[in-house]
Amino acid sequence: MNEFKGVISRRFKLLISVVVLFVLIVLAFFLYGYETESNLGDFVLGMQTGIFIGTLALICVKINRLRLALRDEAALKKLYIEEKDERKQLIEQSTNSLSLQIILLLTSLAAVVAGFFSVTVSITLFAVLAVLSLVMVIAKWYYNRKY
Amino acid sequence: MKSRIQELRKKNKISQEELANAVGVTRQTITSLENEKYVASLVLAYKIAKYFHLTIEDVFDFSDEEINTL
Repeated sequence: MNEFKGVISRRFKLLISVVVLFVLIVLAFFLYGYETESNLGDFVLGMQTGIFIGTLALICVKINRLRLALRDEAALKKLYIEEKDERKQLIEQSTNSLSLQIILLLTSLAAVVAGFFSVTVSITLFAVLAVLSLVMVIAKWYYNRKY
Repeated sequence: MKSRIQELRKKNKISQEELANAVGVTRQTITSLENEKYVASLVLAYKIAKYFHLTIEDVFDFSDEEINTL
């Protein structure tokens, strides 16, 4: 359990660093980012800020969970069981695998359909598809070597 | 896969939560094992059998056709 506590402690510090970085980025948006003239610029900026703040909130929830686990042995054991539970891991693996296959299929379909309306969008979707496929191939190669 | 987990638990007056904590899984995993929705790994099967001071074969039923035809 001490080894796991070390892992949680490192994860806690990493997330704190991420929060500090995010806060600095959001502050930079507020201080320098709003000097836009078009409505589209405002929209994009608002969306970016929203994504950052939303992610920040989720990280804060995670940090609080880790903080509680580091203080309380029972909470640490509960977190350990939740993370190492083999059924949960299987569900996670199955979900990720199926989701990736569906995403690849839908992106391929979208790239073809978008080709009838906009070449730029179609090429972008094909690029996304290529990157996703490349990541999948690399991951498969890595796990083939690992196990 | 069929198992005697529920029977052994009731016999020893142990809750799903207690068994789950003892073998390091969530309560939902024990429920799934009892409902034959999930097949335990070798390590988990060993831990459960050891918890009841039995062998794996005493707790889990390996008489399924699928296993025997391999």
